Amino acid sequence: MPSFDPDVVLRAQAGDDGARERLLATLEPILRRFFLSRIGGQPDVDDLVQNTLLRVHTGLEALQNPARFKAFSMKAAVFELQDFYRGRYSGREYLYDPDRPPTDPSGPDTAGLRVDLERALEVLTPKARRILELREMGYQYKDIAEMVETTEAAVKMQVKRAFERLRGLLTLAGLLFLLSLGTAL
Amino acid sequence: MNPRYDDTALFEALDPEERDALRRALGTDADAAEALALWYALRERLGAGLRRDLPDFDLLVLYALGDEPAVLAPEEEARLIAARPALEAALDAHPALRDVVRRVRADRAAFDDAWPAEPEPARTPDLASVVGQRAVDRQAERPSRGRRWAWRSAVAVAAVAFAALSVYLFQRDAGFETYETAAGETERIELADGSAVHLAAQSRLLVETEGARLVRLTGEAVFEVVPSGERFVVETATARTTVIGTTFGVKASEFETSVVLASGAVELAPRANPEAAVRLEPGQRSRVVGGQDPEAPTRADVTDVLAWTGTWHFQATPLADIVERLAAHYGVAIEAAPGLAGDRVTGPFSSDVAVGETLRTLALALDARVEGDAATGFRLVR
Repeated sequence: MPSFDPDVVLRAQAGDDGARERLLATLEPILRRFFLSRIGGQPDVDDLVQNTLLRVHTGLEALQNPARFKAFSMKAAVFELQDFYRGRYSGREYLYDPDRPPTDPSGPDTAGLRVDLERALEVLTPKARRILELREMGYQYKDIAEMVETTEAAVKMQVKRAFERLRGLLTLAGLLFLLSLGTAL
Repeated sequence: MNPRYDDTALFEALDPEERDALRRALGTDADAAEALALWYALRERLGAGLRRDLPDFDLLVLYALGDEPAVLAPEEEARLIAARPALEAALDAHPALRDVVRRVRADRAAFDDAWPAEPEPARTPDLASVVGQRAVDRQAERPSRGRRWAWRSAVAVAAVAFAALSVYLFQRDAGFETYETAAGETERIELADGSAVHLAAQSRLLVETEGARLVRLTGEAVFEVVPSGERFVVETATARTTVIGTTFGVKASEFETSVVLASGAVELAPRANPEAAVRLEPGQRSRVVGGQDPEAPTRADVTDVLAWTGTWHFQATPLADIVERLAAHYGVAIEAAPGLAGDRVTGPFSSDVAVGETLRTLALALDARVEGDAATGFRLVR
Protein backbone atom coordinates (compact mmCIF):
# COMPACT_ATOMS: atom_id res chain seq x y z
CA MET A 1 0.00 0.00 0.00
CA PRO A 2 1.77 3.15 -1.15
CA SER A 3 0.01 5.81 0.94
CA PHE A 4 2.32 5.44 3.95
CA ASP A 5 5.31 4.58 1.84
CA PRO A 6 8.20 6.76 3.07
CA ASP A 7 8.55 8.05 -0.46
CA VAL A 8 5.01 9.39 -0.32
CA VAL A 9 5.75 11.02 3.00
CA LEU A 10 8.90 12.50 1.54
CA ARG A 11 7.00 13.89 -1.43
CA ALA A 12 4.42 15.37 0.90
CA GLN A 13 7.18 16.97 2.93
CA ALA A 14 8.71 18.34 -0.23
CA GLY A 15 5.53 20.19 -1.11
CA ASP A 16 3.68 17.68 -3.27
CA ASP A 17 0.12 18.67 -2.38
CA GLY A 18 -1.33 15.56 -3.95
CA ALA A 19 0.84 13.30 -1.84
CA ARG A 20 -0.01 15.29 1.26
CA GLU A 21 -3.72 15.05 0.59
CA ARG A 22 -3.56 11.31 0.01
CA LEU A 23 -1.53 10.86 3.15
CA LEU A 24 -3.97 12.78 5.32
CA ALA A 25 -7.03 11.28 3.69
CA THR A 26 -5.69 7.80 4.39
CA LEU A 27 -4.91 8.71 7.96
CA GLU A 28 -8.36 10.16 8.63
CA PRO A 29 -10.34 6.88 9.01
CA ILE A 30 -7.59 5.43 11.19
CA LEU A 31 -7.77 8.40 13.52
CA ARG A 32 -11.55 8.21 13.60
CA ARG A 33 -11.39 4.53 14.51
CA PHE A 34 -8.86 5.29 17.24
CA PHE A 35 -10.82 8.10 18.84
CA LEU A 36 -14.07 6.18 18.63
CA SER A 37 -12.41 3.31 20.46
CA ARG A 38 -11.27 5.65 23.24
CA ILE A 39 -14.23 7.97 23.81
CA GLY A 40 -17.12 6.33 22.00
CA GLY A 41 -19.42 8.08 19.58
CA GLN A 42 -19.19 11.55 21.06
CA PRO A 43 -19.52 14.61 18.84
CA ASP A 44 -16.00 15.60 19.84
CA VAL A 45 -14.60 12.78 17.70
CA ASP A 46 -14.87 15.01 14.65
CA ASP A 47 -12.90 17.76 16.36
CA LEU A 48 -10.31 15.31 17.63
CA VAL A 49 -9.79 13.89 14.15
CA GLN A 50 -9.57 17.29 12.52
CA ASN A 51 -7.23 18.75 15.11
CA THR A 52 -4.97 15.74 14.88
CA LEU A 53 -4.88 16.03 11.11
CA LEU A 54 -3.99 19.66 11.56
CA ARG A 55 -1.13 18.71 13.85
CA VAL A 56 0.15 16.16 11.36
CA HIS A 57 -0.27 18.60 8.51
CA THR A 58 1.62 21.40 10.19
CA GLY A 59 4.29 19.20 11.70
CA LEU A 60 4.98 17.01 8.71
CA GLU A 61 7.92 18.98 7.42
CA ALA A 62 9.68 18.51 10.74
CA LEU A 63 9.44 14.73 10.61
CA GLN A 64 13.02 13.67 10.12
CA ASN A 65 12.49 10.01 9.36
CA PRO A 66 9.56 9.43 6.99
CA ALA A 67 9.55 5.75 7.95
CA ARG A 68 8.34 6.81 11.37
CA PHE A 69 5.13 8.34 10.10
CA LYS A 70 3.05 5.99 12.22
CA ALA A 71 4.81 7.00 15.46
CA PHE A 72 4.58 10.63 14.35
CA SER A 73 0.81 10.32 13.84
CA MET A 74 0.35 8.35 17.04
CA LYS A 75 2.00 11.08 19.09
CA ALA A 76 -0.19 13.74 17.52
CA ALA A 77 -3.31 11.68 18.29
CA VAL A 78 -2.27 10.82 21.84
CA PHE A 79 -1.45 14.40 22.72
CA GLU A 80 -4.74 15.54 21.27
CA LEU A 81 -6.57 12.91 23.26
CA GLN A 82 -4.84 14.04 26.44
CA ASP A 83 -6.10 17.53 25.74
CA PHE A 84 -9.59 16.11 25.43
CA TYR A 85 -9.32 14.07 28.63
CA ARG A 86 -8.11 17.10 30.49
CA GLY A 87 -11.13 19.17 29.60
CA ARG A 88 -9.61 21.41 26.97
CA TYR A 89 -12.44 20.71 24.58
CA SER A 90 -15.15 21.67 27.02
CA GLY A 91 -13.37 24.65 28.50
CA ARG A 92 -15.30 27.18 26.48
CA GLU A 93 -18.61 26.05 27.91
CA TYR A 94 -17.76 27.37 31.34
CA LEU A 95 -16.75 30.69 32.68
CA TYR A 96 -15.11 28.95 35.59
CA ASP A 97 -13.78 25.58 36.55
CA PRO A 98 -16.89 23.38 36.46
CA ASP A 99 -15.79 21.83 39.71
CA ARG A 100 -15.72 25.13 41.49
CA PRO A 101 -18.85 27.14 42.21
CA PRO A 102 -17.93 30.76 41.64
CA THR A 103 -18.67 31.95 45.14
CA ASP A 104 -15.58 34.12 45.07
CA PRO A 105 -14.02 34.98 41.74
CA SER A 106 -10.79 35.94 43.42
CA GLY A 107 -10.39 32.42 44.73
CA PRO A 108 -10.69 30.90 48.15
CA ASP A 109 -9.80 33.04 51.07
CA THR A 110 -7.42 30.87 53.04
CA ALA A 111 -6.43 33.59 55.46
CA GLY A 112 -9.44 33.04 57.69
CA LEU A 113 -9.35 29.26 57.70
CA ARG A 114 -9.32 27.74 61.15
CA VAL A 115 -7.63 24.54 59.91
CA ASP A 116 -4.08 24.35 58.73
CA LEU A 117 -3.84 23.14 55.14
CA GLU A 118 -1.11 20.67 55.93
CA ARG A 119 -3.32 19.16 58.58
CA ALA A 120 -6.19 19.08 56.11
CA LEU A 121 -4.02 17.22 53.62
CA GLU A 122 -3.39 14.58 56.23
CA VAL A 123 -7.05 13.61 56.34
CA LEU A 124 -6.94 12.58 52.69
CA THR A 125 -6.49 8.89 52.14
CA PRO A 126 -3.83 7.99 49.57
CA LYS A 127 -6.57 7.01 47.16
CA ALA A 128 -8.53 10.21 47.67
CA ARG A 129 -5.38 12.22 47.13
CA ARG A 130 -4.63 10.31 43.95
CA ILE A 131 -8.14 10.96 42.66
CA LEU A 132 -8.03 14.64 43.52
CA GLU A 133 -4.65 15.05 41.86
CA LEU A 134 -6.00 13.48 38.68
CA ARG A 135 -8.95 15.87 38.87
CA GLU A 136 -6.54 18.76 39.29
CA MET A 137 -4.87 17.66 36.07
CA GLY A 138 -8.27 17.98 34.41
CA TYR A 139 -9.37 14.38 34.06
CA GLN A 140 -13.09 13.72 34.45
CA TYR A 141 -14.37 11.35 37.10
CA LYS A 142 -15.39 8.70 34.61
CA ASP A 143 -11.86 8.69 33.18
CA ILE A 144 -10.35 8.74 36.66
CA ALA A 145 -12.44 5.68 37.50
CA GLU A 146 -10.84 3.81 34.61
CA MET A 147 -7.39 5.04 35.56
CA VAL A 148 -7.64 3.83 39.14
CA GLU A 149 -9.58 0.75 38.11
CA THR A 150 -12.81 1.31 39.96
CA THR A 151 -16.28 2.67 39.22
CA GLU A 152 -17.23 6.29 38.74
CA ALA A 153 -19.59 6.02 41.72
CA ALA A 154 -16.75 4.75 43.90
CA VAL A 155 -14.55 7.63 42.79
CA LYS A 156 -17.23 10.16 43.64
CA MET A 157 -17.80 8.51 46.98
CA GLN A 158 -14.11 8.89 47.76
CA VAL A 159 -14.34 12.57 46.93
CA LYS A 160 -17.45 13.07 49.06
CA ARG A 161 -15.88 11.30 52.00
CA ALA A 162 -12.80 13.47 51.72
CA PHE A 163 -14.99 16.54 51.78
CA GLU A 164 -16.91 15.23 54.78
CA ARG A 165 -13.65 14.64 56.63
CA LEU A 166 -12.71 18.24 56.03
CA ARG A 167 -16.05 19.38 57.44
CA GLY A 168 -15.34 17.19 60.42
CA LEU A 169 -12.04 18.94 60.90
CA LEU A 170 -13.80 22.27 60.91
CA THR A 171 -16.36 21.08 63.43
CA LEU A 172 -13.56 19.87 65.65
CA ALA A 173 -11.75 23.17 65.28
CA GLY A 174 -14.94 24.98 66.29
CA LEU A 175 -15.36 22.82 69.38
CA LEU A 176 -11.77 23.36 70.42
CA PHE A 177 -12.27 27.08 69.97
CA LEU A 178 -15.34 27.04 72.24
CA LEU A 179 -13.46 24.96 74.81
CA SER A 180 -10.62 27.44 74.81
CA LEU A 181 -13.11 30.24 75.43
CA GLY A 182 -14.60 28.31 78.35
CA THR A 183 -11.16 27.77 79.84
CA ALA A 184 -10.37 31.43 79.52
CA LEU A 185 -13.54 32.37 81.34
CA MET B 1 -24.93 17.51 57.59
CA ASN B 2 -27.23 19.45 55.36
CA PRO B 3 -27.98 17.19 52.42
CA ARG B 4 -27.86 20.16 50.07
CA TYR B 5 -24.10 20.23 50.59
CA ASP B 6 -23.46 16.57 50.05
CA ASP B 7 -22.48 17.13 46.46
CA THR B 8 -20.53 20.33 46.91
CA ALA B 9 -17.31 18.53 46.11
CA LEU B 10 -18.89 17.16 42.96
CA PHE B 11 -20.29 20.39 41.66
CA GLU B 12 -19.96 19.35 38.03
CA ALA B 13 -22.25 16.38 38.63
CA LEU B 14 -25.20 18.59 39.57
CA ASP B 15 -27.83 19.74 37.16
CA PRO B 16 -28.20 23.50 36.62
CA GLU B 17 -31.03 23.92 39.14
CA GLU B 18 -29.09 22.08 41.80
CA ARG B 19 -26.05 24.20 41.09
CA ASP B 20 -28.06 27.41 41.46
CA ALA B 21 -29.59 26.17 44.69
CA LEU B 22 -26.18 25.29 46.03
CA ARG B 23 -24.76 28.67 45.11
CA ARG B 24 -27.62 30.42 46.91
CA ALA B 25 -27.23 28.23 49.97
CA LEU B 26 -23.53 28.82 50.16
CA GLY B 27 -24.16 32.52 50.15
CA THR B 28 -26.13 32.31 53.41
CA ASP B 29 -24.41 29.48 55.28
CA ALA B 30 -21.11 30.60 56.74
CA ASP B 31 -20.12 27.11 57.91
CA ALA B 32 -20.70 25.58 54.51
CA ALA B 33 -18.85 28.42 52.85
CA GLU B 34 -15.91 27.88 55.17
CA ALA B 35 -15.86 24.17 54.38
CA LEU B 36 -15.93 25.00 50.72
CA ALA B 37 -13.10 27.49 51.07
CA LEU B 38 -11.02 24.88 52.84
CA TRP B 39 -11.87 22.35 50.15
CA TYR B 40 -10.74 24.65 47.38
CA ALA B 41 -7.64 25.68 49.25
CA LEU B 42 -6.80 22.03 49.63
CA ARG B 43 -7.25 21.40 45.94
CA GLU B 44 -5.26 24.47 45.08
CA ARG B 45 -2.47 23.10 47.23
CA LEU B 46 -2.60 19.76 45.45
CA GLY B 47 -2.58 21.46 42.06
CA ALA B 48 0.31 23.72 43.01
CA GLY B 49 2.30 20.72 44.15
CA LEU B 50 1.73 19.01 40.84
CA ARG B 51 2.69 22.07 38.84
CA ARG B 52 5.79 22.53 40.95
CA ASP B 53 6.94 18.95 40.47
CA LEU B 54 5.75 18.61 36.88
CA PRO B 55 5.84 22.02 35.20
CA ASP B 56 5.54 20.56 31.70
CA PHE B 57 2.81 17.96 31.28
CA ASP B 58 3.99 17.13 27.77
CA LEU B 59 7.13 15.64 29.24
CA LEU B 60 5.08 13.11 31.14
CA VAL B 61 3.44 12.01 27.89
CA LEU B 62 6.83 11.72 26.21
CA TYR B 63 8.05 9.71 29.20
CA ALA B 64 5.12 7.34 28.82
CA LEU B 65 5.67 6.95 25.09
CA GLY B 66 9.44 6.75 25.27
CA ASP B 67 9.57 3.23 26.68
CA GLU B 68 9.29 1.88 23.16
CA PRO B 69 12.10 2.34 20.67
CA ALA B 70 11.86 4.62 17.66
CA VAL B 71 8.89 6.57 18.96
CA LEU B 72 10.51 9.79 20.10
CA ALA B 73 12.30 12.19 17.81
CA PRO B 74 15.93 12.96 18.73
CA GLU B 75 14.93 16.35 20.07
CA GLU B 76 12.26 14.77 22.26
CA GLU B 77 14.71 12.17 23.52
CA ALA B 78 17.14 14.92 24.43
CA ARG B 79 14.45 16.78 26.35
CA LEU B 80 13.47 13.63 28.15
CA ILE B 81 17.02 12.75 29.13
CA ALA B 82 17.49 16.21 30.60
CA ALA B 83 14.22 16.07 32.50
CA ARG B 84 14.25 12.45 33.57
CA PRO B 85 15.62 12.87 37.14
CA ALA B 86 13.02 15.50 38.03
CA LEU B 87 10.33 13.54 36.24
CA GLU B 88 11.03 10.36 38.15
CA ALA B 89 11.05 12.28 41.42
CA ALA B 90 7.64 13.66 40.50
CA LEU B 91 6.36 10.18 39.70
CA ASP B 92 7.49 8.98 43.10
CA ALA B 93 5.88 11.91 44.87
CA HIS B 94 2.57 11.72 43.00
CA PRO B 95 1.21 8.24 42.30
CA ALA B 96 -1.49 9.84 40.16
CA LEU B 97 1.17 10.58 37.56
CA ARG B 98 1.75 6.86 37.14
CA ASP B 99 -1.96 6.53 36.42
CA VAL B 100 -1.49 9.05 33.63
CA VAL B 101 1.47 7.13 32.26
CA ARG B 102 -0.59 3.95 32.15
CA ARG B 103 -3.41 5.83 30.46
CA VAL B 104 -1.11 7.21 27.78
CA ARG B 105 0.29 3.76 27.09
CA ALA B 106 -3.22 2.35 26.86
CA ASP B 107 -4.00 5.06 24.32
CA ARG B 108 -0.92 4.11 22.36
CA ALA B 109 -1.97 0.47 22.36
CA ALA B 110 -5.41 1.49 21.09
CA PHE B 111 -3.75 3.46 18.32
CA ASP B 112 -1.78 0.38 17.33
CA ASP B 113 -5.04 -1.54 17.19
CA ALA B 114 -6.63 1.09 15.00
CA TRP B 115 -3.68 1.12 12.62
CA PRO B 116 -4.30 -1.45 9.93
CA ALA B 117 -1.63 -3.63 8.44
CA GLU B 118 -2.67 -2.27 5.08
CA PRO B 119 -4.09 1.26 5.42
CA GLU B 120 -7.38 1.85 3.72
CA PRO B 121 -7.41 3.75 0.47
CA ALA B 122 -8.05 7.45 0.62
CA ARG B 123 -11.76 8.17 0.53
CA THR B 124 -12.10 11.77 1.60
CA PRO B 125 -11.54 13.76 -1.55
CA ASP B 126 -12.65 17.03 -0.04
CA LEU B 127 -10.14 16.81 2.77
CA ALA B 128 -7.85 19.00 0.76
CA SER B 129 -10.10 21.91 1.53
CA VAL B 130 -9.45 21.33 5.20
CA VAL B 131 -5.80 20.50 5.43
CA GLY B 132 -4.46 20.48 1.93
CA GLN B 133 -2.56 23.71 2.08
CA ARG B 134 1.16 23.80 2.19
CA ALA B 135 2.33 24.23 5.74
CA VAL B 136 3.45 27.66 6.68
CA ASP B 137 4.39 26.54 10.11
CA ARG B 138 6.98 23.84 10.68
CA GLN B 139 5.63 22.51 13.90
CA ALA B 140 6.71 19.26 15.42
CA GLU B 141 4.08 16.69 16.19
CA ARG B 142 3.98 17.67 19.84
CA PRO B 143 0.59 19.24 20.15
CA SER B 144 -0.56 22.45 21.65
CA ARG B 145 -2.55 22.77 24.81
CA GLY B 146 -5.75 24.10 23.31
CA ARG B 147 -7.69 24.33 20.13
CA ARG B 148 -7.05 28.01 19.76
CA TRP B 149 -3.35 27.24 20.03
CA ALA B 150 -3.21 25.06 16.99
CA TRP B 151 -0.02 26.80 15.93
CA ARG B 152 1.65 26.93 19.26
CA SER B 153 3.16 23.51 19.62
CA ALA B 154 6.88 22.98 19.58
CA VAL B 155 8.45 23.97 16.33
CA ALA B 156 11.01 21.56 15.01
CA VAL B 157 12.96 24.08 13.10
CA ALA B 158 14.59 27.05 14.65
CA ALA B 159 14.70 30.37 12.91
CA VAL B 160 17.41 32.65 14.15
CA ALA B 161 17.51 36.23 13.04
CA PHE B 162 20.58 38.33 13.42
CA ALA B 163 20.86 42.03 12.77
CA ALA B 164 24.27 43.63 13.07
CA LEU B 165 24.73 47.15 14.32
CA SER B 166 28.32 47.16 13.21
CA VAL B 167 30.73 44.80 11.56
CA TYR B 168 32.83 42.62 13.74
CA LEU B 169 35.08 40.11 12.13
CA PHE B 170 35.82 36.85 13.79
CA GLN B 171 39.07 35.23 13.14
CA ARG B 172 38.86 32.86 10.23
CA ASP B 173 38.95 29.48 11.79
CA ALA B 174 40.45 26.67 9.74
CA GLY B 175 37.55 24.43 10.70
CA PHE B 176 34.95 26.82 9.33
CA GLU B 177 33.58 27.63 5.93
CA THR B 178 32.88 31.29 5.23
CA TYR B 179 29.87 32.84 3.47
CA GLU B 180 29.58 36.54 2.79
CA THR B 181 27.00 38.80 1.17
CA ALA B 182 27.49 42.20 -0.43
CA ALA B 183 25.20 45.22 -0.17
CA GLY B 184 21.79 44.48 -1.66
CA GLU B 185 22.51 40.78 -1.85
CA THR B 186 21.00 37.90 0.11
CA GLU B 187 21.87 34.24 0.04
CA ARG B 188 20.26 31.02 1.16
CA ILE B 189 22.73 28.45 2.47
CA GLU B 190 21.95 24.79 3.00
CA LEU B 191 23.97 23.30 5.86
CA ALA B 192 25.23 19.75 5.94
CA ASP B 193 22.78 18.64 8.62
CA GLY B 194 19.80 19.85 6.62
CA SER B 195 19.50 23.20 8.39
CA ALA B 196 19.26 26.32 6.26
CA VAL B 197 20.43 29.90 6.67
CA HIS B 198 18.98 32.95 4.96
CA LEU B 199 21.85 35.42 5.08
CA ALA B 200 20.93 39.08 4.83
CA ALA B 201 22.93 41.74 2.99
CA GLN B 202 26.39 42.72 4.21
CA SER B 203 26.64 39.75 6.51
CA ARG B 204 29.22 37.08 7.15
CA LEU B 205 28.67 33.56 8.36
CA LEU B 206 31.22 30.95 9.38
CA VAL B 207 29.92 27.42 9.51
CA GLU B 208 31.68 24.59 11.27
CA THR B 209 32.97 22.31 8.54
CA GLU B 210 32.19 19.13 10.41
CA GLY B 211 28.86 18.78 12.08
CA ALA B 212 27.51 22.19 11.08
CA ARG B 213 26.06 22.66 14.57
CA LEU B 214 28.27 25.63 15.43
CA VAL B 215 28.13 28.86 13.47
CA ARG B 216 29.59 32.31 13.93
CA LEU B 217 27.82 35.29 12.55
CA THR B 218 28.30 38.95 11.94
CA GLY B 219 25.34 40.66 10.38
CA GLU B 220 21.85 39.45 9.91
CA ALA B 221 20.37 36.05 9.14
CA VAL B 222 17.53 33.63 9.64
CA PHE B 223 18.32 30.08 10.59
CA GLU B 224 16.04 27.11 10.07
CA VAL B 225 17.63 24.56 12.30
CA VAL B 226 16.84 20.89 11.93
CA PRO B 227 16.49 19.45 15.41
CA SER B 228 18.78 16.69 16.50
CA GLY B 229 20.21 15.30 19.69
CA GLU B 230 23.02 17.83 19.40
CA ARG B 231 22.48 21.46 20.24
CA PHE B 232 22.84 24.14 17.61
CA VAL B 233 25.05 26.99 18.80
CA VAL B 234 25.22 30.48 17.37
CA GLU B 235 28.21 32.56 18.45
CA THR B 236 28.37 36.31 18.08
CA ALA B 237 31.07 38.70 19.18
CA THR B 238 29.77 38.90 22.70
CA ALA B 239 27.47 35.99 23.25
CA ARG B 240 26.72 32.37 22.71
CA THR B 241 23.13 31.39 21.95
CA THR B 242 22.16 27.77 22.26
CA VAL B 243 19.16 26.46 20.37
CA ILE B 244 17.24 24.19 22.65
CA GLY B 245 14.47 24.11 20.13
CA THR B 246 12.26 26.20 17.93
CA THR B 247 12.31 29.84 16.93
CA PHE B 248 14.28 32.82 18.10
CA GLY B 249 16.01 35.92 16.87
CA VAL B 250 19.24 37.63 17.74
CA LYS B 251 20.54 41.13 17.21
CA ALA B 252 24.29 41.35 17.47
CA SER B 253 27.00 43.97 17.38
CA GLU B 254 30.58 44.13 18.52
CA PHE B 255 29.56 45.13 22.00
CA GLU B 256 26.08 43.81 22.42
CA THR B 257 23.93 40.82 21.57
CA SER B 258 20.22 40.76 22.17
CA VAL B 259 17.98 37.75 21.71
CA VAL B 260 14.26 37.62 21.07
CA LEU B 261 12.50 34.30 21.33
CA ALA B 262 9.48 33.51 19.19
CA SER B 263 8.80 30.00 20.40
CA GLY B 264 10.51 27.10 22.10
CA ALA B 265 13.51 27.80 24.28
CA VAL B 266 17.01 29.20 24.01
CA GLU B 267 19.81 29.90 26.41
CA LEU B 268 21.86 33.08 26.16
CA ALA B 269 25.22 33.42 27.87
CA PRO B 270 28.27 35.67 27.66
CA ARG B 271 30.94 33.93 25.62
CA ALA B 272 33.36 34.29 28.49
CA ASN B 273 31.00 32.89 31.10
CA PRO B 274 28.69 30.12 29.89
CA GLU B 275 27.60 29.47 33.47
CA ALA B 276 25.75 32.78 33.51
CA ALA B 277 23.22 31.63 30.92
CA VAL B 278 19.60 32.76 31.09
CA ARG B 279 16.81 30.77 29.55
CA LEU B 280 14.17 32.65 27.58
CA GLU B 281 10.48 31.91 27.29
CA PRO B 282 8.58 32.66 24.09
CA GLY B 283 7.95 36.37 23.62
CA GLN B 284 10.89 37.38 25.81
CA ARG B 285 14.02 39.36 25.11
CA SER B 286 17.37 39.49 26.87
CA ARG B 287 20.78 40.88 25.98
CA VAL B 288 24.45 40.62 26.77
CA VAL B 289 26.31 43.91 26.91
CA GLY B 290 30.08 43.68 26.88
CA GLY B 291 31.14 40.81 29.07
CA GLN B 292 28.35 41.28 31.56
CA ASP B 293 25.83 38.64 32.55
CA PRO B 294 22.61 38.59 30.50
CA GLU B 295 19.87 40.95 31.55
CA ALA B 296 16.75 39.52 33.10
CA PRO B 297 14.29 38.56 30.33
CA THR B 298 11.58 41.08 29.45
CA ARG B 299 8.64 41.01 27.06
CA ALA B 300 9.19 41.83 23.37
CA ASP B 301 7.08 42.27 20.23
CA VAL B 302 8.38 39.27 18.31
CA THR B 303 6.27 39.96 15.25
CA ASP B 304 7.74 43.41 14.74
CA VAL B 305 11.30 42.42 15.57
CA LEU B 306 11.39 39.59 13.04
CA ALA B 307 9.17 41.16 10.38
CA TRP B 308 12.21 41.93 8.21
CA THR B 309 12.58 38.22 7.51
CA GLY B 310 9.41 38.15 5.43
CA THR B 311 7.77 36.03 8.07
CA TRP B 312 5.40 37.18 10.76
CA HIS B 313 6.15 35.32 13.96
CA PHE B 314 2.90 35.71 15.81
CA GLN B 315 3.13 35.03 19.50
CA ALA B 316 -0.26 34.66 21.17
CA THR B 317 -1.31 37.54 18.94
CA PRO B 318 -5.01 38.46 18.94
CA LEU B 319 -6.64 37.80 15.59
CA ALA B 320 -7.81 41.41 15.49
CA ASP B 321 -4.17 42.56 15.44
CA ILE B 322 -3.24 39.99 12.81
CA VAL B 323 -6.12 41.03 10.58
CA GLU B 324 -5.04 44.66 10.84
CA ARG B 325 -1.50 43.74 9.87
CA LEU B 326 -2.64 41.58 6.95
CA ALA B 327 -5.02 44.25 5.65
CA ALA B 328 -2.22 46.83 5.63
CA HIS B 329 0.22 44.43 4.00
CA TYR B 330 -2.06 43.13 1.26
CA GLY B 331 -4.04 46.33 0.75
CA VAL B 332 -7.41 44.65 1.04
CA ALA B 333 -10.24 44.91 3.52
CA ILE B 334 -10.19 42.10 6.08
CA GLU B 335 -12.28 41.77 9.19
CA ALA B 336 -12.78 39.16 11.88
CA ALA B 337 -16.16 38.36 13.34
CA PRO B 338 -16.52 39.67 16.90
CA GLY B 339 -16.43 36.17 18.34
CA LEU B 340 -13.11 35.51 16.68
CA ALA B 341 -11.31 38.79 17.10
CA GLY B 342 -9.94 37.93 20.52
CA ASP B 343 -8.70 34.47 19.61
CA ARG B 344 -4.94 34.23 19.75
CA VAL B 345 -2.60 32.71 17.23
CA THR B 346 1.00 31.68 17.55
CA GLY B 347 3.29 30.65 14.73
CA PRO B 348 5.19 31.90 11.70
CA PHE B 349 3.28 33.08 8.65
CA SER B 350 5.05 34.00 5.45
CA SER B 351 4.22 37.43 4.10
CA ASP B 352 5.01 36.24 0.56
CA VAL B 353 2.00 33.96 0.08
CA ALA B 354 -1.36 35.07 -1.29
CA VAL B 355 -3.77 36.70 1.11
CA GLY B 356 -6.35 34.01 0.50
CA GLU B 357 -3.97 31.25 1.50
CA THR B 358 -2.91 33.04 4.65
CA LEU B 359 -6.53 33.60 5.64
CA ARG B 360 -7.45 29.99 4.95
CA THR B 361 -4.60 28.83 7.13
CA LEU B 362 -5.72 31.13 9.92
CA ALA B 363 -9.26 29.88 9.51
CA LEU B 364 -8.05 26.31 9.72
CA ALA B 365 -6.28 27.01 12.97
CA LEU B 366 -9.28 28.77 14.44
CA ASP B 367 -12.04 26.45 13.28
CA ALA B 368 -13.34 29.33 11.21
CA ARG B 369 -14.01 29.97 7.54
CA VAL B 370 -13.24 32.71 5.06
CA GLU B 371 -15.97 34.67 3.32
CA GLY B 372 -15.69 37.25 0.55
CA ASP B 373 -12.83 38.03 -1.78
CA ALA B 374 -10.26 40.70 -2.53
CA ALA B 375 -12.81 42.85 -4.38
CA THR B 376 -15.47 42.89 -1.68
CA GLY B 377 -13.23 42.34 1.30
CA PHE B 378 -12.53 39.22 3.32
CA ARG B 379 -14.26 38.21 6.53
CA LEU B 380 -13.27 35.47 8.97
CA VAL B 381 -16.32 33.93 10.59
CA ARG B 382 -17.09 30.85 12.62
